[in-house]
Amino acid sequence: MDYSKVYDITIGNFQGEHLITWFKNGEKHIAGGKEYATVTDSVAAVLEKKFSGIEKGTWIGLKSNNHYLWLAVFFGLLKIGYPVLLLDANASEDSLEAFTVQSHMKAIVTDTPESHGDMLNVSMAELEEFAESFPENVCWESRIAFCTSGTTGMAKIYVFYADAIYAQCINVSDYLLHDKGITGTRNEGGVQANPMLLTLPLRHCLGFGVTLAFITAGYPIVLPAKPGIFGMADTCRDEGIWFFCSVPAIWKGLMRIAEARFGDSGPESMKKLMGEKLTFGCSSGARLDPAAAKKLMGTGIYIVNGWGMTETSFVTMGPLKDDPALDYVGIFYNKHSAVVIDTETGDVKSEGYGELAVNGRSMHTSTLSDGKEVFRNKDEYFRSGDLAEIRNGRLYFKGRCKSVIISDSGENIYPEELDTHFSFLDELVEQYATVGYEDEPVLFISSKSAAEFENSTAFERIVEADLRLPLGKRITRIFVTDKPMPVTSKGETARFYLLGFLEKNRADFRELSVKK
Amino acid sequence: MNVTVEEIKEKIRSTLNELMEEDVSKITDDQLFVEELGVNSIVIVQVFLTCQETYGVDLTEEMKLAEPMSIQMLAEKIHNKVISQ
Repeated sequence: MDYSKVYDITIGNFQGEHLITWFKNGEKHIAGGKEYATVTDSVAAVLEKKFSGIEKGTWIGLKSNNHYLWLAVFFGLLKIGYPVLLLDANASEDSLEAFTVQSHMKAIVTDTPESHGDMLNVSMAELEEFAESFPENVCWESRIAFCTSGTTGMAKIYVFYADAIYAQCINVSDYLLHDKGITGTRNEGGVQANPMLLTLPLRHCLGFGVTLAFITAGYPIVLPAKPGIFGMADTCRDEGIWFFCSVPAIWKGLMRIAEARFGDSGPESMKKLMGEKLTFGCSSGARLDPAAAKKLMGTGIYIVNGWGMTETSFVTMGPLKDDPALDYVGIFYNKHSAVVIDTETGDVKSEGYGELAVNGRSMHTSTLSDGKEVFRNKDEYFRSGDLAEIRNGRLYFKGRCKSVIISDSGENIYPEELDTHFSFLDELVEQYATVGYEDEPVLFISSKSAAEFENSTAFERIVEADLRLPLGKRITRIFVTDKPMPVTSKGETARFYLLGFLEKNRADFRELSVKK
Repeated sequence: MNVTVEEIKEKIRSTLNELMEEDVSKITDDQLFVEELGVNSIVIVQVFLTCQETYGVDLTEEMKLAEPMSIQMLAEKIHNKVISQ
């Protein structure tokens, strides 16, 4: 199967008059399915000329924020035979270089013109100048790839074939169209009268998957009229948005705004903030803490929570109100099957507590390494690194057994990457390691000069290096001690034992803010 | 536009007040948003956007650089941009 099938069920055969709404220079624009298909063909024709010197099947990067042309570029590239690498619009130069090494990509589409060595570049601004046309040589590709938002160059690229994304679109849209809980929240007027607000980045598996599933089901999508969280709330209210999907940090922010403006985040206040028609919401992309889950249930919005990963796509979904346990993340859907692996014995069980492992049709097929695909064994369950409990087919999230930190903005932060970023400490302190603490990265340091660490060269260099990290990945705290920290059998600092070590030896640690 | 640093500081505080759980009246003008107050990027971006819109200045580069910033520092930066327009 190639991506023409995904295109057909989303844009190609979209029946409604309203597929996408966007705002430019204060003006509102709406395109239906047919109009957007014409835009896609025209953009494909421009790209075909621009990339005429690049061999078909070569990876092309799409490094853009959400934009009304994003889907046109995405499907346009696939239609003319190029697999698409979905990149963070703010990816650092280091990570871009690493993605290039792994994928051998030869061109990149960006918001504004960018220069990256020999790589060809086309900007969204250039593409907006398209004239109506059609590509000469249609030869649909079958691969796309999601990338981690690498900080220091440890690129991770997951390839999804068309059949996996096709299955996800069909399975999730079926749920959106037939689940009684969801359809019960719809406003009158059928799917076309119930738009979703696009707030998540399309290059991310969650924003991408949710958006394509909604389009498959026939629902319109609306891009915010203005950036920022106030812009989201205003567009939601002004455009009669029915569905809003975002990460816990955004939901918490919206509830906070309602409290500040109207005194609480109850149903009436949320209606004043987000509009009468917002009756369905989804929190995903990061762990929803119990206090926020409880508060969200009090908003009067039908909130579903879910679990999934870039590697697995959507695995569970369920309304918060269905289960009193605040760590409930839904039932398995999207045709996934799951087991838990006992962390002590390694026994594989269909129910109980352990590391969650999943398999299904919507999983990634391969990863990219030096331009080549490294295939996953399709018969094996993919180990998620998350601790979970499966009870009566329901999934309960219990924490992580891998070191990755997931902030409540949905940002994956890899401690190993941050260790690399701070590797100059090898020569300045005895030991160091980055660890997730209260869903934030913190630096643990063992140093002989712990008592005056804030006056040391090491501290000064940490502050400087920290400022070179993206905002959401910065370390704000250091725990420093002059005592040796636990090590593994290989002599490396034992990251997994550091939080326990801190708890037992709190008096031996100093906590410092990372600032000049 | 005729605006003082004090007025800009008041605008920043009122925006923060809508976005932060903490009592904004207890925040000093010199406390750093991320490093000392633990403010997340959603809040910071909105504060910058509100100031851009209110005072008609471009803060795109400042948002990208994301340097340590306090209410005082941001207000002065905006004020300098306003008077140089």
